[in-house]
Formats: sequence, C-alpha cells, structure tokens
Amino acid sequence: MTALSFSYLNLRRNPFGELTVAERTAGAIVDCDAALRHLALPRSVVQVIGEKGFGKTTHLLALATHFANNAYVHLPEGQRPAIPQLGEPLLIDEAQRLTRRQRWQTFRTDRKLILGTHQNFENALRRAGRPILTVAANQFTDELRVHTLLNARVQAARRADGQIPAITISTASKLFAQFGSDIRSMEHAMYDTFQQLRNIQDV
Amino acid sequence: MSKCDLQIKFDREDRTYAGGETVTGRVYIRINNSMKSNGVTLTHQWRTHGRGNVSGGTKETVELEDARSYSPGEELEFSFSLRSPTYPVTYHGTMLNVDHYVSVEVNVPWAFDPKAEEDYVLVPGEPPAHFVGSRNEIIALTPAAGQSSTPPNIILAILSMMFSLAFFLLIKGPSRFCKNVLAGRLGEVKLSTPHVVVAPGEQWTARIQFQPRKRFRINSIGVTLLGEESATSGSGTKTTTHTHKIWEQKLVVRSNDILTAGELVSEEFTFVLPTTAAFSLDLMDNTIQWRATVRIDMPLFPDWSQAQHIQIVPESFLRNLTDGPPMTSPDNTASFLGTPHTSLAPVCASESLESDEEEESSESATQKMLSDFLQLVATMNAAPRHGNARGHLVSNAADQIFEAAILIDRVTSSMGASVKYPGYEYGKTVTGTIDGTDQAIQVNTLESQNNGIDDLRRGDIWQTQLTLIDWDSLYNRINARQIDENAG
Repeated sequence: MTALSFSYLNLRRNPFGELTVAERTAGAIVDCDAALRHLALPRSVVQVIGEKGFGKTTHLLALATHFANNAYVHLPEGQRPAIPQLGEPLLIDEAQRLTRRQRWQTFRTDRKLILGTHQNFENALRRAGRPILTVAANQFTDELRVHTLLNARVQAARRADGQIPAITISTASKLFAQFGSDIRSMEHAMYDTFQQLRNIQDV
Repeated sequence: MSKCDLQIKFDREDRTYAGGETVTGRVYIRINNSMKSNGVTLTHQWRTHGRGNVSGGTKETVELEDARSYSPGEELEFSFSLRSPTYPVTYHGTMLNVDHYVSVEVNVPWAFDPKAEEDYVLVPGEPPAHFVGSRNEIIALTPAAGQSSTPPNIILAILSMMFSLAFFLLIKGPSRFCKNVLAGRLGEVKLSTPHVVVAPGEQWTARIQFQPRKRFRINSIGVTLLGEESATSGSGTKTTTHTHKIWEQKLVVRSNDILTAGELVSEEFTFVLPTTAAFSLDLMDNTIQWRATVRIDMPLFPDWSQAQHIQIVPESFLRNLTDGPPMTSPDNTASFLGTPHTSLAPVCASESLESDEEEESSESATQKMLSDFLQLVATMNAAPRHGNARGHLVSNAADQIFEAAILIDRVTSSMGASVKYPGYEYGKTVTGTIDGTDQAIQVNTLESQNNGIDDLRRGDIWQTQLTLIDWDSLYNRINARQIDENAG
C-alpha cells in the first residue's frame, strides 16, 4: 500500500525539491523595506545583483508581491522574449541578457524597474537619469540566514502539527562554508539528505 | 489568528482510491473573524514534486459556496464528490513524485485567501479511455497537462533543430560508418520483441537473430533492462537534468564464444519484469522510462547494440489492448537441418532388467501421466485466454509429475537466466508444443542432460517427465522443468 508522501517525516514532500513560482514567492524571506522605500520615487530602479543561485529571482518575486499591477519577464539564454508593455513596476529577471536596443528603450522609459542581473547597470541607469538602488542578493547571507532559510523551507512542507525534522546551526555553518552564498547548491545537497531521512530528527 | 480555519477530510481513512473511482469527503470551515468572501472553491489536481520543474494536470474546480458574509464562530460543512483520474497514478520515487490533491480556498477580497490542501493516494484502477491499441507499440499516455513552469517556444525549437543538424553531421556520420562495418561482420541483425506494452511482474522476451558473414569471437551477447527516473529543472540553456536508476538487470546468454560464418545465431532473452509501481511516465520535465538494450560485445571491435523502449503500465490497463501476434518462429532451417527423429530420452527408460509385469505396470503409469497431462492441457484450453484461470490451473498442478511428449521448436542454453532451481542454471531451455496439441511449452532441462538435449532437432518428438513451474500469459505458454529421474 502506498503511503502519503513523506508522511513519516510529517512533511508533504521533500522540502528542497523544485517549487512553483507561487510557492517560491510565498516562502521568500527577503528584507524588502529599503527597496520599497526607494521604489516610491518616480522613475526609480532597483537592481538586484548576484551570482547564480544567490537568490536574485526570489528577491524579485518577493518584491513583486507588493505591487498588484507588476509585469514580470524572465529572459532565458539565447532567446529574445518581448518586454511587456503594460504593468508597473516592470521586473526583468536576467536583465544582463537585454539586447542593446531593449536596454536603451527600457532604461529611457518612465516605468519603475526592478532588475535581477549579474551585470551592474548603475552607470547606464544614471546616464538615463534614473534614481538607482543596488541590492546585493547575498548581502545578508550568513550562517544564521542560511539556517533560517533552510528551516523555513522545511516548515513550508509541513504536513500536520507536531514535530518535523530541523536543520541545525552546525549543518547550516557547514553548508555556508562549502557553498558560500549559493543557496541553490545548498538546497540540492539538502534534497539528497532528506531523501535518505527515515525518521524525524535533527539534520 | 487567521480569519478562518479550514480542514479537508476524506471519507476513507487510508485516503486510497482506484483510478476512475469517486473520491468523497468533507470540508470544514470555522470562522474566527467576521469577513466577507467572494466564494469558496474546491480544486482537484495532480502535480509532480521533486527535483524537476513542477508539472501538473488540469485543475478541476467546484464552487462550494457563493459570495456572502460570515460571522465569528460560524461553522460550515460541505461534502464533496469527485471522479478521480485514471492516470497518472500516485508515485513516490527519488527524483520525482506524482501526487493528487484536493484543495479548498476562501476568496477574501483584498486579503490573503485562507487555503487548505490535502493529498490522497491514487492506485491503478480503470484504464484511461484513450489507452487502446496493440501491445506491440508504445501507446501515448500523456495526461492532460495544466501547468508547467517552462513552456516551449519557437526560438527554442529552432535552436533544437540546429543542434539536431549539428548532431547528425558530427555523430551520425561516423555512426553510419560504424553501422556498415558491423553489418559487414554480423549481417542483418533482427531484434524481435513480441510486446512492448507490459505489466509489472510479467515475463518479457526478446529474440535476436543474425547470420554472421565472417568467423569471429564474441565477448558476450546480452541484454540490459534499465528503468530510470529523469527530472529536469530550470529553463532555456540553464536546465539541469537529474536521473536516478530505478532498476538495472543484466542478462548474458552467450559469452566467450566463436561465431561461424553462415551459421544462424538465434538467442532468446527472457526477463521477469520487476513488480514495480514505477510505471512509464512521459511529462515535459519528468519522465520514467524503461528500455532493454541488446548488445553484442566483440573484442577489438565496435559493439552492436539496439535499445527497445518498454512501456510498463498497471496490469488493469492491458484490459483494452489487443495481444500482439506471437513472435515469429525463427528461421532455423540453416542450423537445424535433418530428418525429424523420435525421443532421445524415453520416459521411464529403466535400464534395469525387470519382470514383464513390472514393465507393464510402469508403462501403464506412464500412459496415465501422459493422459493426465493432456487432460490438464485440454482444461486449460477451455479456460478463458485472458485473466488468471490458466495461471491458477498451472499453479494447482505445480506439485504433480507429468509425462509429456513435446514437438521441438528450438533448444537454447539457459545460461543461468531466470532459472531458480539448482542443477538447471546451465542446462538447456527446450521450447515447442505438446505433441498432438497447439499448446506451447518451455521446459528447463537439467545441466546433467545437456549432451542428450543437444542432439534434439527441430521437429523431433521428445518425451520426458516434468513438473510445472508457472503460466506465461504473454506467450500463452506453460513453463515447466524436467524432472531429475535419478534424484531421490
């Protein structure tokens, strides 16, 4: 007889599997205050900079929840999707892939922008007369934040009241030492750990 | 405290339903604060979770209540009744999982919508309505997809075409050359598989046939059955595919041998498929694939190999399928020439000199065992072709010893393949029909009898004592083993 998924851990699923956009947004732990204050200015731009796996997309999605009329676009490598003409602020994930023409057009509009990017556009945006705030995606990432983020993922997969596995600060420290700010790689490592887990215990 | 508490309870304690059954339960809502709602909706959907991007089926939504206002302390109860899908069934693997969910949501204007979700277990039941056809070819079993995080687009398709062209030029060119070289040595290699749509626990057989053009040595002729989960995360060129082997089984039917030019090589591989819940699944970013790869391994020469995809489906899904035609008989005329001769191992061939009376008694016992067997075969043929009736008849007679006369079709080496009994592992496998009937039979013979069995030719009548092992529903065939007359 098939049992319910991960019920032996009082969870609904492996907490470190891929999430839907809605799940990722709901579970994001991001300090948005400074960015939101900055976005109150006309023509303002917030750019979230960071390497792969640092949490740029999570930052963008967390900011998006504060704006009912936002427009979000992710630019996959090698593709040129159209930039949405409606919605504000305009969120562009992987903005370093904007073509020169798209960049010129987007930076010169009056729409507020939130960019997730590997490349720093500060100079170009200043030339376009935009007030800009640069946020490093990993600016607050340390052992404690890793500990909080990973345990929040486990909590989000909770099945019922009662005990669930917990990630210890020692594990969080080890992961931070091994992967630095690369949260995605930590999640992949924890996926394997939870796949092996058979009892509710500290990890 | 949230505006309301939501709870979903299924009518069945174990939350287990078969495909096509009605899933029933109740939704309980307790209002904590006064609130207005735009309605209460119940949603039914399957989704994947695990390493790959989330795929999901079409959401089926039911309105439980219209817009209204609620007062604190109010308690509401709704019953629900939903028809479960037939596919995909619940699966909990390593890289991917499939689960079925019922969720309830109270639509509160301008506020966070209170929501509850519960999963249930869907086990195989009715076959999907569109799952019809023949067991000889893979049948598309793609469930209606609702969401996926990575929709394809035209640029990706163009890139994929360009990649395919480059792949063809760089890989296929040398591969074509390799194929020609192999054909020059092996001739045309025919791989025949009677069925590719199969159920767990079923016996699956493939046959390879070729007539070498040259004399050469082989390391082995074998087959590998592989079941694999595959989950893809990310999108565009940032995709990562994670794979996990569910099952790997290797079977070698011939090793360290020399093949002679012009002599027909005909080998049969028989697997008992694992009793697994990992049914074949083909979603955009999440798949479970089964394939058998037959390989001829030759020293200092490229290997010949061919993969055959197998679609493993729940047994109940086979109900609406037509059986494939039986595997064509091998053209063994080249290697099995000669006039048919009679039994090489006469039954109860007692070498001792016994009295006429004892001989008569022995002969009559033999006749009785022969007639018992023919009677069993007649009963089996009268039983329905589908279902378990024939299997049960064989199981019930498993302890008895029968006398059988078999019209030989072919003899192959067992090579340890799926033979559980000591003394038989490296014996022979004799395939044919019970003399005077159309009933197919396969007999595992004793290793100690190899010399005698090797002399059997196609068309010979071979008489032996045997006991039944099981019924092979795939080939409509009795599996039996020769009795060790010297034992005990």
